[in-house]
Amino acid sequence: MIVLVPIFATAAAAGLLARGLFAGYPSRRVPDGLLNAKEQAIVAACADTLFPAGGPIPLSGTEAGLVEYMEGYFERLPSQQRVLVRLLFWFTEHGPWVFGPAPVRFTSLDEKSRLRVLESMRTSPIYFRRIAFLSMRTMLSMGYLAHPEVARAMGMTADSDPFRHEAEAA
Amino acid sequence: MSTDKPSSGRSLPIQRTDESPDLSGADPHAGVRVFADYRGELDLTCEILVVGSGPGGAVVAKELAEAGRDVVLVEEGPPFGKKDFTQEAGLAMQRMLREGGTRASRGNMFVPTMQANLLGGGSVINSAICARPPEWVWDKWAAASGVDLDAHTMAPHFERVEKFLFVAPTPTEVQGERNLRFKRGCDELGLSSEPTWRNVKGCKGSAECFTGCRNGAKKSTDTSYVPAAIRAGARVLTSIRAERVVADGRRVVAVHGHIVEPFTGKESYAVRVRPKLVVLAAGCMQTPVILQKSEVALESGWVGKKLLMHPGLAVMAVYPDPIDPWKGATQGYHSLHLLREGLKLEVLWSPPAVLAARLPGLGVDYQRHLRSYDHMAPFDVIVACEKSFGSVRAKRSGFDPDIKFDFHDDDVRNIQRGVALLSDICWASGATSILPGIHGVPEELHSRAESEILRTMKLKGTDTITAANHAFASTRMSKSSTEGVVTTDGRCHGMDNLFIADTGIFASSPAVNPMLTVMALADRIAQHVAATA
Repeated sequence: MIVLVPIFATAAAAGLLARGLFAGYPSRRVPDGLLNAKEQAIVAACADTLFPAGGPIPLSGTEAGLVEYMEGYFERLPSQQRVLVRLLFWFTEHGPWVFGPAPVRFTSLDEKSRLRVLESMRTSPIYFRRIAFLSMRTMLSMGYLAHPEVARAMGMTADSDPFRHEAEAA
Repeated sequence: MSTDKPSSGRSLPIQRTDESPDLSGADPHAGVRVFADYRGELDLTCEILVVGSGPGGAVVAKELAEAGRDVVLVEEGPPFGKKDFTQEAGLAMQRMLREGGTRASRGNMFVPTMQANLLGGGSVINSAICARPPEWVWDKWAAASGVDLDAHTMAPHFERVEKFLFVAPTPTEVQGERNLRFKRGCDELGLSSEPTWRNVKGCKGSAECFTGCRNGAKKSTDTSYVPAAIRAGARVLTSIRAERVVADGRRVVAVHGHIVEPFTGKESYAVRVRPKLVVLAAGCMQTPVILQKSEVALESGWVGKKLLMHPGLAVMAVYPDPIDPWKGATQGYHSLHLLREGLKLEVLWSPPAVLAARLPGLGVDYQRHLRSYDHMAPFDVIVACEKSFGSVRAKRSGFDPDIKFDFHDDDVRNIQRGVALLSDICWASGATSILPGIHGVPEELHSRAESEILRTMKLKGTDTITAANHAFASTRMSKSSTEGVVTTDGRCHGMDNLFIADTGIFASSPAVNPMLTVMALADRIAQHVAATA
């Protein structure tokens, strides 16, 4: 009987780990996408933390379609880069286990705590954490600024002949 | 299996063209073979095979075709027409750049570096800056590896390229406030500055160089040298990846590769080319990979060694009034005042989203900065490193290079000096704050006094977001076969019919943007081949 104790303990730990890693994610926003439910949830959580609704640019990250954008971006990536992007999502999601503020997943945190996590990545003394944050923010910013409403809010134009149009308007 | 035979019966030599053909209204890529054209394996014979259609390869192909040679030009990427260009940063980078635009060197820090993968190579996506290296650069090259080139020898080649590409200073009408503020700052400080000279005709100041010129104003090689090469009889085949050079003793006898699908890179049919002479112009990162995978021309031990780059670092000036940075020539002004000291100061622009990622703040604060983006102008400094080196190695699988680069502390100190000068330019041009984007420095500097930290801090490379898109010297030229890979004529030491014509052959830094230099060198190599081979 004593022999079985470590086996049960290992199995229980494995079960808890599996649950911590894979269970409890909402169903996928993009059903046929390459990103799984967990990855889409991480993208959505990061998107709305970086770009909250009702801010100086009213559109939130998910309202700007960042999950769908990332799905397309991911699909077009070469396979080696996909692995790196997946690792980045996992690093963000499970970073709080190591770096705080609580031993839970990023997507399980409330909005304020998510902001704290991303802020600690952004300003981290650890170079790799800062680079991870920068990579994530670059991808999501590309998607956010690609949305016409965001571009409009920023006054950003993609005009192929801006000076002629300016002169005509004047 | 299809066999392409060389064209025959052509009267030689063909008239050389001195100016890029006028293609207004015409398809610049007419005659270019694309992925959909291939029905099976390709077996080609030709006199000259040129690998790569960027600034080096396209010049060689055009010049040799016009010299009456039977030229085949192969390019891995597809052609992009004006309608194919998209302003969405992510999509543009993924479609036009290798590794989906995510390439970075490893080493003591990550340095993002881009390589184009399309007909015309880097010339399609760069800012079109054409700058001749100052005279003293050639002395440095001589000191580096005994290269006996000088400004006088190179002058006719620069002139030919400049004339062909309509190289001229950026006109004031399309500068826009972003560029003019930089000029104003330089003027106030007594730093010399000048409009950039560019290979552009009819620029409208759309600031879209990086994602491809929708106006067709940029004279990238796919709309200039490549059409001229086709007109002179060259066969241009895209979606062909050259993978291995097959040599028999001192001679290349074949080049093997595959047809690859655009954007996915999926391998299709095999390609075998039997040329009499090969010019590799696949770029400073890709040519070493081909040589290493082929185990050809490696005797010198220099292939892929001593990679040099121009790391660049930017700061963002914030003005009290809107300057609409998305209007105006992409990089319309620069200062060569401190070139001798390894620093080139310039205006920077790229898709707004790429630059936005370095803005301060998170959430609402980040959005606030995005909202005031129309008041910002990014300026950057690139540094000609004296002590920072890297390497390029073929990976075991695939054809992407493994790039290593170590940013030396002394060069970091020099770039820090450049950043401090940029902050002076910002203040002198009327900025009310600066966003330095450097770890360990306040995110927003509100006064000259506050920005002194940019001079006094002990900056580390890893504190910065440094990128480097000028890369060279991975197959450097040298007088002796023990000091480099190619001769000053571009021929690989120890090989009779293998040449290289990309920035890999630079003996050292050109101090300025490398495109014009590699084109002039390619022009010289082509003339040498035409005369001797």
